[in-house]
Amino acid sequence: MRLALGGAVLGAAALAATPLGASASVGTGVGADPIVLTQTAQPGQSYALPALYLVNTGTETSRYAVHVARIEKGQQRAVPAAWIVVPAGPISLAPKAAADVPLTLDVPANAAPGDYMTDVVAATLTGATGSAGASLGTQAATQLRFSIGNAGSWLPWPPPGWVLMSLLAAVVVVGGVVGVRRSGLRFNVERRR
Amino acid sequence: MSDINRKAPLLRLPGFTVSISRGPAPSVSARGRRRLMPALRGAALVAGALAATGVTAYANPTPDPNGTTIPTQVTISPPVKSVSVSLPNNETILPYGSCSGGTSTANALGFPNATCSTAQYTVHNSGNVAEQIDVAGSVAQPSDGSTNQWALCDPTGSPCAGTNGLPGANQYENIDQGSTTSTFLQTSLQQDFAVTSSTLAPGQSTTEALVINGPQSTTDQSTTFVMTVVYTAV
Repeated sequence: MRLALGGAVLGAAALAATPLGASASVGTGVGADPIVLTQTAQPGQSYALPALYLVNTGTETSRYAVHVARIEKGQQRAVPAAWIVVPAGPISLAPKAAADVPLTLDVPANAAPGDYMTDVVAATLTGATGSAGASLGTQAATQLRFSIGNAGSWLPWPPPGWVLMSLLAAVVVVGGVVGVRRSGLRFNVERRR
Repeated sequence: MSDINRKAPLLRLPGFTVSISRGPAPSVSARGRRRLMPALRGAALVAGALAATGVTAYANPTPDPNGTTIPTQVTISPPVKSVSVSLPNNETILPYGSCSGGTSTANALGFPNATCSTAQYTVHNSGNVAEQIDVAGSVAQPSDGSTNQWALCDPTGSPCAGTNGLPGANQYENIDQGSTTSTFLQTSLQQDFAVTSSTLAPGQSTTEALVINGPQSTTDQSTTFVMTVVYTAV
């Protein structure tokens, strides 16, 4: 018995001897800067992460899937894939087109505090059925880092911006009222006869 | 008494007069001052903490002293890690040929332990930063969709079970050959040693080809198999 692992159209000798032309290619590109959640995450909370920059660097329209997998080594804790919510369906991009892929971090209530690291991976989807041979694919990975604080902390630190702004506004209002009262200024409304 | 203290009318409405006046500042008794000072100190502390935590980042930008602000926009090219692989005839399936050994013909793998290879293709750093290229293989999936796949084996990670270290029944090796060095593919990512340097510079390419060492025997009777090879920019 013999098995076909290649197409019957091209001769084997020619296949082995002739480099393929570079007229077509598949490619995957992602933003090289790590994706970092700047605030400390809290157990039981969800956070919108900075988007993944995804670009089709090939010459063909490609479909991409995004997943989470630890590729790079490090001392940080591993991130269970279920914590990172990525788009469910494939992302189709024309050659040289780019997209910002939204990412969400869902921290379980029982998550241990500490520093976490994983990789966000974008990969081409290959249609491997019905043919014989090696299905070539590309993917690119960028690092994702965040920290989880202690559960039950009375105040997430640093506090969200709206909390800071509310406190500042309260201080300004109270200070203004006290200042006016101490200056002796009075607003008078009198009824004329 | 100054003007402002004479209750100058500020606004006249039908039947009403609105004015502002300034009287003597209310005297604060020593007891009242003692009650007020802790509150003022607390407010000062909160304001200081807010300043220390960077609230000023929310402030509006300083107005243009010339009176006109012209919005400008600049398009930046973010640093991108990327890998691209050339394709034969726009097909993502790279056929094997040049088969030899066992019962092989030119384009068909024979048994036991025959060898086939693909044409050369290029792996290209299509990003704008230097990067390491990792590569991984997969099981060989028969076209009939059965579960009788060929497992990927290699000399180190998942040793082959055949004689003399060759693939056994339902096993195969897939070798990523570069110009001077090669990588036995594993199902998990590993550095592509077919790339002669540890990293590829932006725009740099390497020429590679795949060589397969087939199984000693196969359970599945499919006549075509497909396997996946994925290159990763790390």
